[in-house]
Amino acid sequence: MKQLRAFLALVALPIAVLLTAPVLLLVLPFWIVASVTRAIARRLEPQHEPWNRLIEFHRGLGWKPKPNLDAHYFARGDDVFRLRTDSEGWIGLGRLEDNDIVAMGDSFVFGYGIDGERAFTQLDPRLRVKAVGCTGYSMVQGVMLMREFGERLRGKLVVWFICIENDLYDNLLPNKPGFYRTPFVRRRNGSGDWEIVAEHVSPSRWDYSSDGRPYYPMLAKLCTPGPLADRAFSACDYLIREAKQVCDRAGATLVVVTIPNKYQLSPAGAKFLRSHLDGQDNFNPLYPDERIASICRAQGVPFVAGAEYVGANDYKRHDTHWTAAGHRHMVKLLRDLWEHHRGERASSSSSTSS
Amino acid sequence: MIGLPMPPRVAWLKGFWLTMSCGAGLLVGVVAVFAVSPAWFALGAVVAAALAGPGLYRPEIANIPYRAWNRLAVWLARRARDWMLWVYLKVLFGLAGRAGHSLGLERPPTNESLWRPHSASPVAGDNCRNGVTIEPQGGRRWARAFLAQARRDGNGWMRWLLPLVAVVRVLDDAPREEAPPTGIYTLY
Repeated sequence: MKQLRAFLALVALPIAVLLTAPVLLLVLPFWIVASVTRAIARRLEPQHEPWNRLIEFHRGLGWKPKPNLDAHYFARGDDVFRLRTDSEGWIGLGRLEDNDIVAMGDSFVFGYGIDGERAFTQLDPRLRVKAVGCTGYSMVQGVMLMREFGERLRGKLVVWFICIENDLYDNLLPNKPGFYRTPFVRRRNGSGDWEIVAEHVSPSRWDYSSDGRPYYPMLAKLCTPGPLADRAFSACDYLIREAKQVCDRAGATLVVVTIPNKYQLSPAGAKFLRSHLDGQDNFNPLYPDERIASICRAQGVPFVAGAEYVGANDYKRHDTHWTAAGHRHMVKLLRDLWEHHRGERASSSSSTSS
Repeated sequence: MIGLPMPPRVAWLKGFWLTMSCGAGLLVGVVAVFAVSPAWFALGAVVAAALAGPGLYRPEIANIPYRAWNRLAVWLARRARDWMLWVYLKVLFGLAGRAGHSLGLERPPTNESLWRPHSASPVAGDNCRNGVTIEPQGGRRWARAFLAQARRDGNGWMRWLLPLVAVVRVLDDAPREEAPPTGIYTLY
C-alpha cells in the first residue's frame, strides 16, 4: 500500500504543480518585492538594543537609564529610535546645572517613540531644557528625584509632567507590569497622610505581577468622581505638596503640567473610556485636570493642562505617545512657560531693587 | 512572507521605495532596449536614481503605496493559499488516498468496541494509536522536522509534499505585525 501511495503521490504532484503554477507566477513579483525590501530594510535599520541594556537598577527609583548611552531601541508597534544620555543617565548631553528648565516625568519626558533630538525637550536650542525622566516612572519617582537633586535645582524652572493615563494609578502600586518593583505611596497608619515607600525596591523580580494593567478602566474611573478617584487625587495632592516644598527649599519654581490620554481629547475617545464604566452619568474626561488644577491652586503651584496644547491627532495611532507634531506643540508650552517665568523673575527683581 | 510589516518602519519604507524604484528602472531599461537600442538600457538606471531620491529623503511619501501594495499582497496571498490548499486536498490527497489508509474507520461489527489498548512500543504509521502529534515548527528547521516526522511515521511519500508545503509557508503569515524581539521593554 505504501509503494502504491508513493507512486500515486508522485503522479499527482506534477498535476498539482501545473494547477498552482499560474498562481505562483502571480505571487512571484510580490515575493521578490518583499524579499528585496526586507534585505534593504535590514541594512538600513540601525542595530537596536534590548531594553535591559539601556536601563540599570537604581536603589530607590527602581530603574534609570544607563549613563553615556548612544544607542537605538525598538518601540513596540512603532519604529527604531535613537537614545542619548548624559553622564548621569538623563536625556540630552548637557549637565543639569547648565540648563534653565528641568522637565520631569515619565516616558513622554524621556522622549519614548521619537529620536532624542526631535523630542520636545531638545527641539528648541534656545530653551535650555534638561529632561529628567524615564519610561514607567510615576509621580513618586519625580518627588524622589527632586529630593535627590535638592540644591541643584536652585533658580530653575521645574516643569513636572503628570501623565494622567497611568501616573495617578501607578503612584499607589508597588510594581509595574513586567515584574519591576517601583516606589509607591501609602497612607500612614492612623493618619490620613501619605508616605513614600521604597524599602521593597530591589533588582529582583516582583513576582505578583502581570503582563498588563487595566489602565483604561482605571482612567475611566479617575474621570469619574468616586472613592477611587478621591484616593488617587489625595495621593497626588501629597506628592505635589512634597514637590513644592523641595522646590521652595531649593529656590526653584515648580509648574505642574498634565499630559492627557488621547481618548480624553475626542468625543469618540470619551465614549470609549465611558464604555469601561457601568452607566455612570458623572463621567467627565476633564475631571482629572480639574482636580489637579484645584490641588495646585490650593498649594500655590502654577498649573497648565496639556490638553490646551495637544489634540487627539497629536498622538500616535498604535501607541499612547505623541507624534512629532505633538512634540512640536509641546515645545510651545515650554516656550510659554519660560517666557512667563522670565517675566515674573524680572518683575520681582525690579520690585526688590526699587 | 510576501506581506510587509505593519505599521511600516522608516527603514522598510525606504527599502520598499528603493525596490520599487529599481523595479521601475529595470522595466524602463528593458522597454528602451527593445524600443530603441541596447545602449538605452542605461536610461533605466537614470529613472531608478531619479525615483529613489525623493523616497530616501522623505520616506513618508512611500506610506500610501506601501500600505496599498501590502494590502494587495495580503489579499493575493490569502486567495493563492486557499487555491493551493484546495488543489492539494483534491488532487494530491485525492489521488494518494486511493491507495487506502491505515485508520480503522470502518463501522465495527455489532458489539465490538473501537477502544484500543495503548501500545508501549510505537507502531509506524499509526499516529492515533501512539498518541503522536506533529509539533509545530517555526524558523528554518521546519523542513527537517517535517521530513523527520514523515520518516518516523513511515510516510515516506510525504517528502514529495515538501516543496508544496514550502510554497504554502511563503504565503502564510503575511498580515501579521512583527513581534518585538525578546527583552524589549514594553512599559509606558
